[in-house]
Amino acid sequence: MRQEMQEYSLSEHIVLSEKRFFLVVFTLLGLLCVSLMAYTGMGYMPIPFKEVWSIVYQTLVGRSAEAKAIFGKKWYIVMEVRLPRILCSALVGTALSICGVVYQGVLLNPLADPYTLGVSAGASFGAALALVFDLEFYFGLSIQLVAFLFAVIALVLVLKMSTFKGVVSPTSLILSGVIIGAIFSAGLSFMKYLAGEEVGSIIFWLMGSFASKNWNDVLVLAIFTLLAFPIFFTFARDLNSLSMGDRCAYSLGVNPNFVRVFLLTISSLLVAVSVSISGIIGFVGIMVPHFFRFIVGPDNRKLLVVSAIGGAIFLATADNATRVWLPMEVPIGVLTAITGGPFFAVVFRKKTLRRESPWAARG
Amino acid sequence: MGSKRIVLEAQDLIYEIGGRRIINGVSLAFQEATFYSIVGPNGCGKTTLLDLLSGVRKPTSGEIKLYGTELTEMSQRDIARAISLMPQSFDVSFDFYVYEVLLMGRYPYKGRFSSFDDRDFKMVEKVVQELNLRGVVNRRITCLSGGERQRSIFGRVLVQDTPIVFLDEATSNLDPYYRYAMLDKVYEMTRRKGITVVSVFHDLSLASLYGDHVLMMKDGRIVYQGSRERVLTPENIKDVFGIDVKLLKDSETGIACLIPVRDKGG
Repeated sequence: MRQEMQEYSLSEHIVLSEKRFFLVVFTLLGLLCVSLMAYTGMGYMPIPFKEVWSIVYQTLVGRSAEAKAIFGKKWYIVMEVRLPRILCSALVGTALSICGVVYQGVLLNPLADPYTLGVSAGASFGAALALVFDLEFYFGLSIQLVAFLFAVIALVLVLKMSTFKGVVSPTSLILSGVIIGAIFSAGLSFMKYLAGEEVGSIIFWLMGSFASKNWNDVLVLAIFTLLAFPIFFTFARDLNSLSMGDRCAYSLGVNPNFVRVFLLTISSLLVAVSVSISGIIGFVGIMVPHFFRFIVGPDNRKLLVVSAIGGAIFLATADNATRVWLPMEVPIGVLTAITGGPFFAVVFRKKTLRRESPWAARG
Repeated sequence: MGSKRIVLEAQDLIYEIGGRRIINGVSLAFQEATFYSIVGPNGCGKTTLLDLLSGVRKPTSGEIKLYGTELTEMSQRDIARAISLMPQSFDVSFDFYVYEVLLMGRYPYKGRFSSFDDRDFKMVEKVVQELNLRGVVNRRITCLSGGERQRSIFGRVLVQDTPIVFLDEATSNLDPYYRYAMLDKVYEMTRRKGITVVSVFHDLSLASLYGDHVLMMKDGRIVYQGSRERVLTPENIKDVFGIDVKLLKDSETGIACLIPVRDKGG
């Protein structure tokens, strides 16, 4: 009988799902380590795994001078070219994925991604502005800085616009994001028009790239990501409460308006940082959380941890594909959507058909 | 009656939004071990009153005291350990397992970093037994029928284990069996555990059947309150709802039943 099949106790069921969760986490962590090391060895000049390990290890324990002497050119390739790029891609993957979890949880909308609130539109406009008027040359403002500033401006405008007497609803946030995004997109189009022949550099920036990233970029990304993650994690249960509706959230001791504004501000800052460093990389922030929701369920605590690791693996792999496996550098944003899209479609179909799901027809 | 402790009281509550006065001078005091029914026509401010009393909205003026402490001086978490709410609508945005939803009732007692322990699991187990949720607890909340979902959310309220329970039209989607089962359950808890239940009803018969004390609201005020016999009279109902009813008393139990009177006999 079906009843008897389900007759194990609740705590057993929970222990089972915890075990499953930790299994997923450790598998992903292992996969992340292995893939990062492997990718570092790959490229125009293949470097054996052992040598990569030795270079990284020697440098980490403070013997970089000796390592340089032993490995010569290979040391520079690993430490100055490949590792910064690979770590950047992994960190941006993590950042976009955990922000995706937060955006979807806060906006109660499975379609939300880190760019929903117009942060990307603001950043694009800022970058275009900097490129067209050559602000770096005249005012010493780098493209990254201007992109970040405009992302923050877009965020502030959206938050201001959607707050009514201290109440912020998901719908008003999404609407404000669309409106502000549309305005900045128009501005971007105008910049492209002004750019004339040089429009290519704007387009290339917008499509995102990890080429020629350095340790500074890694450091900035790491600081922001490592600061944001614990904050998100401590608010993960509040996000769970939010999904029960505002009044239930209140009755569970959560002020939904505060949580929304606080978490959206932090995650948008993180997105702004990553956009200003790597350009706009779509689809990661929406796909990774969805994919892992199929695997560990919607509990935001688990989802955050798993998405953080999984996002890093996904984007690092995608970047490795354009760097090593493909005959030419394809913009990373194009690649994530082209490879991730069909894969996600298959998983979505399979998982939805196999188990009870809101999208599957009820028998 | 007089010896019962007052758990929640409000003085001269006024709540305005967009220049409209939703709550217009409400004062009340809720005692422990009592079931309160709130009735009133649509838009009279019943739900808003519950929101004010549980800190969801801040009153324009007036004060609310929960166990003698000003509500404004308490954190939302403190309030959540005293008052739980069973809302009108039960849309859950993500497909949580029912046991995960039930465990959410323990959130107000959990630190940000702590995880659930055996006490929490036992609490959930007990509620699962009591509410006959065995068959749904390992299913996803988004896949349940309206009634099953409502019972699960009710389970979450019981897991929260608060001395005050607010029910806002909480039994609207339930079949008669579970409707009475749920209300019997909370009624019995007012007697056995001394909790206070404040329930908004559209169904006057249910309000009369369970309410030790009935509050009748109209245009943001409490116009009649007291025992059900005093409040739920045909005259008061005519005044507040504008309908004609006849009062029938069950000869065995003495419970009053309200029968609407039609103008034109059909």
